[in-house]
Amino acid sequence: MDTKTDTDTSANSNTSKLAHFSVNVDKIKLVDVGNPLSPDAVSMYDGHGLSAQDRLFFCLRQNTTLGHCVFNPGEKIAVRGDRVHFAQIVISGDMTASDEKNNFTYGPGSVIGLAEGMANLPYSFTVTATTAVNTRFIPIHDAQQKLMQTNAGLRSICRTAIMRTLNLQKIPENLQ
Amino acid sequence: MNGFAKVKFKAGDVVFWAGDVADKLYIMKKGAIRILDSRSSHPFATLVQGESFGEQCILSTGIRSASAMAMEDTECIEIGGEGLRQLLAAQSPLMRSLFEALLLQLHMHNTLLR
Repeated sequence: MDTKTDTDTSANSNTSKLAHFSVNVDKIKLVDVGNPLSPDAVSMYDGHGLSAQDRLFFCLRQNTTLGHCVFNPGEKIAVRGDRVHFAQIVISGDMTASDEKNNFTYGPGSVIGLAEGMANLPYSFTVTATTAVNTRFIPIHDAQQKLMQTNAGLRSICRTAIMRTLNLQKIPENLQ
Repeated sequence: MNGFAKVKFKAGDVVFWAGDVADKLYIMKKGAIRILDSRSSHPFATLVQGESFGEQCILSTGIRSASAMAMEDTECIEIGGEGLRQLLAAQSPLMRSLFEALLLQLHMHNTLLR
């Protein structure tokens, strides 16, 4: 698995070093236990100082019910403007991402197209694999149906997360 | 949802500071909350009725990554982290993954674009 470590936001798109997002895979390897919500796992999280994003990734990686996908180097994972059918959670590998203003690099822990798909909006970024990339995917249609059937409080939290991720000022019609 | 309470904040009240233990989530009923960057204290989001904040409480012993301050008289529903975790544990695996992945994508967005 990829060994890229801490999140790096020290540079922007105007410099040679691009802003980068990745969870800390090395730390996560140290807490590789079966049940991420067990008391043992929680004490291990604390002992190894995992961040919130490391822990969310850890929970997602442990979920065996999501489908797997592999992308080859050079393959496009998302094309800006295209409709989202499957959101991708990156388990390993590296990618570049760009829109009209920004260029980023993504690593493990990146989530591609989920907020956009849930709001019935197209991909915000074109994302291209630069190494072999392994993902778990979430079918957008199924996720939208689940969200509509779930508890009103959880639905509200999810809706807020979607709106904050996409900088939306109004609630998307399909999430009202 | 278990373990919720109505809470009120006056303009200028700090709901929580970056670095605090995250043990509650808030859903806005009225008013406005400003979310402040942990390093610069600059606001990067303003939340209004119907929006929620403090999602880190879904993680046991999670830590606040930003501060939250009321911009005007504000009323929220406060939900304990344990109740939220129990509620999430009762959901389908797909719903749990959706919830976790949305929070992860929000972290990613904040990291790259803040």
